[in-house]
Amino acid sequence: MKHLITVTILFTFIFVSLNIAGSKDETTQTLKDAVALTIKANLYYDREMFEQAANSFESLLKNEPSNKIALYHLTFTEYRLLEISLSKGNEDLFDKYYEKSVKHAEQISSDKILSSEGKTLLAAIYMMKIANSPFSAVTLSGTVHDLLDDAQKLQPKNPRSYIIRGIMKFNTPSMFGGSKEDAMKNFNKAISIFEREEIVDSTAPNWGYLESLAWLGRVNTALENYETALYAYKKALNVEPNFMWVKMNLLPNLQKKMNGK
Amino acid sequence: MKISLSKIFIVVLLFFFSASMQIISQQKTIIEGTVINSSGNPIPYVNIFLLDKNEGSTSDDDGSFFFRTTARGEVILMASSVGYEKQEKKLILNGDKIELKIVLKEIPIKLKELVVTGSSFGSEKEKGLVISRIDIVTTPGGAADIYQALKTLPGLTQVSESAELYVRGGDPIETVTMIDGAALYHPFTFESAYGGLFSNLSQSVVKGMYFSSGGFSTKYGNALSGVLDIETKNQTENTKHQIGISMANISLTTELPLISNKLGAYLDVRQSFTKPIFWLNGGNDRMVVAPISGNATGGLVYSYSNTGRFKLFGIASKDEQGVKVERAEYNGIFNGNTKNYFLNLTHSNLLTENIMTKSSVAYNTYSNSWRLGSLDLEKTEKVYSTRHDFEFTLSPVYGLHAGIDAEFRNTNFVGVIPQEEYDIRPEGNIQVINAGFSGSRFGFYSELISGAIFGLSDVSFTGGVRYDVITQLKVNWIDPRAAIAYKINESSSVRFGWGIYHQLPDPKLFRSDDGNPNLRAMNAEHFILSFDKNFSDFNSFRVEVYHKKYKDLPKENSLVNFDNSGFGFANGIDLILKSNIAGIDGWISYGYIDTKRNWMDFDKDVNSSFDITHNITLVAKYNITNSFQIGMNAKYATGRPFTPINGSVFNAANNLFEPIYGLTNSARYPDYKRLDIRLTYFDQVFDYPVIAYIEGLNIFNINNIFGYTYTPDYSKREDIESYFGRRMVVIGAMINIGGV
Repeated sequence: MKHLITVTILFTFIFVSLNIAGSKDETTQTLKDAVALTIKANLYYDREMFEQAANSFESLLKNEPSNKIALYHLTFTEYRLLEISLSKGNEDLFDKYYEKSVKHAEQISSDKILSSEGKTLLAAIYMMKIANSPFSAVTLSGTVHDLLDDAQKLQPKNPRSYIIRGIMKFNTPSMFGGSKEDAMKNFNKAISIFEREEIVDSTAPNWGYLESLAWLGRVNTALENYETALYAYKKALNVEPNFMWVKMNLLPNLQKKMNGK
Repeated sequence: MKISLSKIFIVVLLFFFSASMQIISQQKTIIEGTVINSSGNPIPYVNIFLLDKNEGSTSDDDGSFFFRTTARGEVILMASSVGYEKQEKKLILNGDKIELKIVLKEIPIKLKELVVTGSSFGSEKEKGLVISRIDIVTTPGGAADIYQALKTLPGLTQVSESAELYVRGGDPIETVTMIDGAALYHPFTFESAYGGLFSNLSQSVVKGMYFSSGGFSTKYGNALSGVLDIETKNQTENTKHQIGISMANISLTTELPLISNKLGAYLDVRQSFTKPIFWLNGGNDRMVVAPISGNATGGLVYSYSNTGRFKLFGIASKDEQGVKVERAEYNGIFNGNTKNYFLNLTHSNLLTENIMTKSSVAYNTYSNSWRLGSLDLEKTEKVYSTRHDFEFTLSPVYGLHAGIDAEFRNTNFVGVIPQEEYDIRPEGNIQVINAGFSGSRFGFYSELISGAIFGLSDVSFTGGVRYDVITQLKVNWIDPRAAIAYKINESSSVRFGWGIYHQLPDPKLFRSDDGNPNLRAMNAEHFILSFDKNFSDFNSFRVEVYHKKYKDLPKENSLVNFDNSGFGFANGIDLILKSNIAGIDGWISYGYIDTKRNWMDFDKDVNSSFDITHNITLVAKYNITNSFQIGMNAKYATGRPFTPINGSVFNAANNLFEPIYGLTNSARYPDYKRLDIRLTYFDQVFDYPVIAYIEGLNIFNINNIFGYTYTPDYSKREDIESYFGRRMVVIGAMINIGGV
């Protein structure tokens, strides 16, 4: 009888462990799939894909509310949806995601490991708010730079913080303290970090390399450094031929400018 | 078919040979190295890439770079970075590793942005970012007025609540406002004997501005002390509408891109009405006609190519006020009204890759009437002006700026003025005025700009000369000016500026009856030494020491009314620290000045009327939440000098006490002290961004005065309060509708 009980406990333990392991594997796979979908959505700048990815991350978080990586990716998709809402002039979409994306980014900012990334995302989300409501620049532009300062103090080699700083500098009129030259320095720094970074975890925050090349192209186009812009766009397409923003928009516009010149 | 072993062997051999060749041809060439500057220091974040290819890299913090390429044969490698000349290098790629040391030549400051002047404050970083449009909008007590916000900078003395710019002890007429290259001599509303209160120009139509309190370039003529160069907005990209309402005004701003990237228009219309403010805060009893003004500012911009653009910009404004005035000899009502219209057509284009041209043709008509007791004077002024500027880029580090400007100015004074300054009674003795002054001024300037002199990339230089001639007066002058800047390191620089400046005196001094049509131009020589340190994007410090020497100032002369024997000086030090510490954003500025003059009716060299020894301003803003910002603007300034009245004698013939004046400017008004606070709220109402604020002006209710009034026998004196001198509360809001 004793043997029977021992064997039963042992089997139960093994069964439960295997179940847990299986469930973890499943969670990891779902996370990986959702991250892959986000990457694809990023390339095609596709609202539906972003929303599907957001749903997947939300489902994951329902089962595992403490999964900060899932929360990070959810917040990133929300940030991208805010960006899409601005490009489409869709106020409802903006309203749908703004408040919750801020809340999520604040939660990530308080996480020990992801704090720098969270602050960067929060800065990016506030930047969207400024784009949507220029008046808010009065209070938020300082906050954006403070958050990025904090993010860089916590993690000096966080390339995404340099991209967001660069975009902020690029889009801010010089009368308000913007500078294309400063923007370029930030994009270059981001690229330099990306090109020396080793990715060990496919689910860790790793977006931004393509964007930094695209923005490097944009800022060089604005400064009429067309050769550098062309290199940046071609390099982005070499890394990812289906990066639609560059392929369909930025590169053709640059080629038109170069031919016009 | 029989195949021999040797044939198979040959085929296999050929296959392997071909495959090996393929592998060799695809073998990547490694290109690595470092990028340094001419001093041997590494340059981080340089783009190094193969021209027309997608291969390249960005240098690291230590200037090192590395990349692999599949390209073969001859290629061009390019290195480019902000602040450095691009460099191309021809390389032959054959699979062997290539190691490079790339030396990039610095361009200290891009020529188009090179402004080596002693004392400049710009809205753009390249020109020394000190004050931005956000600063203008959010500085408490500034009423979002460009001039009021500028007055928080060092070198601008706080003489009163007026918006006029008193630069380093100079009279306000010594600072000229330029709008897209054309001078606007009356940029204020509510002009009175105490100066104008606000600017005619809304900050919403401004693209950039450059202010210099001395040592400015030869581009600017006929200005003795300072220049405010404002560039108005260009093409609008988005449709925007904004409505603003406060207890002092209502405004509507609209921007319309009519044809994308081709044609755009913008308009800012505002009506001010001060009655609600005086009703809430008291002061209505002084107003017979509470100051009101109407103002429209707008532009139409046509871009006919990537670089060519026409812009028509205009301002129309009018105002009126009726204020009770109490003087020793007379109590009455001061009525003032002003009309001002300004129109400027500008054109700019890049003629060739190296020549930029900017032209403007402007017209300004201004009329102003003042009535008080026997004073009934109307001043009218018409100014026609044109200027053409050319910017030649001779090389990456040398440029030549040259231009011509011409101006015809006709000023008329018609009416009656009191015979004696102290007797404005309607029954007092009067003098009938019907005087006009017309003059045409032609100016020519040329200026060499160098981003690296004597082969030193850290030293930049600007030097030039301007020549002005006024044909009717047969007066001409030559103004040489130069400035040199040394970049100590990436964050610090030191500058020295020197120059001769001329300006014609106030037109009314050229009247033939009580002035002198043969007066010459006033002269000032500026010496400025400054040091700048930028700790980071939001933290910077500047200190300037200056000496300004005046001569040929107008001075009373019993034979010819006025001559040019006046002289004077101004010595001082200006400091500003702009900072963002612990979330508090702001700046503190301090100016010390010692200035004396012997001019006009002064009997010897005494303190200038604008000798404000100490001038301190502290502006601080803190974001309580993302929706609330609190800000403060604290000011302290030494009281300005005035000529006291020590007694009186009774003139029985005129039935009037005549004042006995003390020594010129031998007394001072009480020190100027004021604290303004502002709470600003930002949010959205029905998806429309809204900004609302409540502002407390002079919250300690410190009595800052314009001057003194006296009892009829001058035995007692009382303060004359400024309009907005007492404690006041102002509430306002702005809403953005349509577009972002």
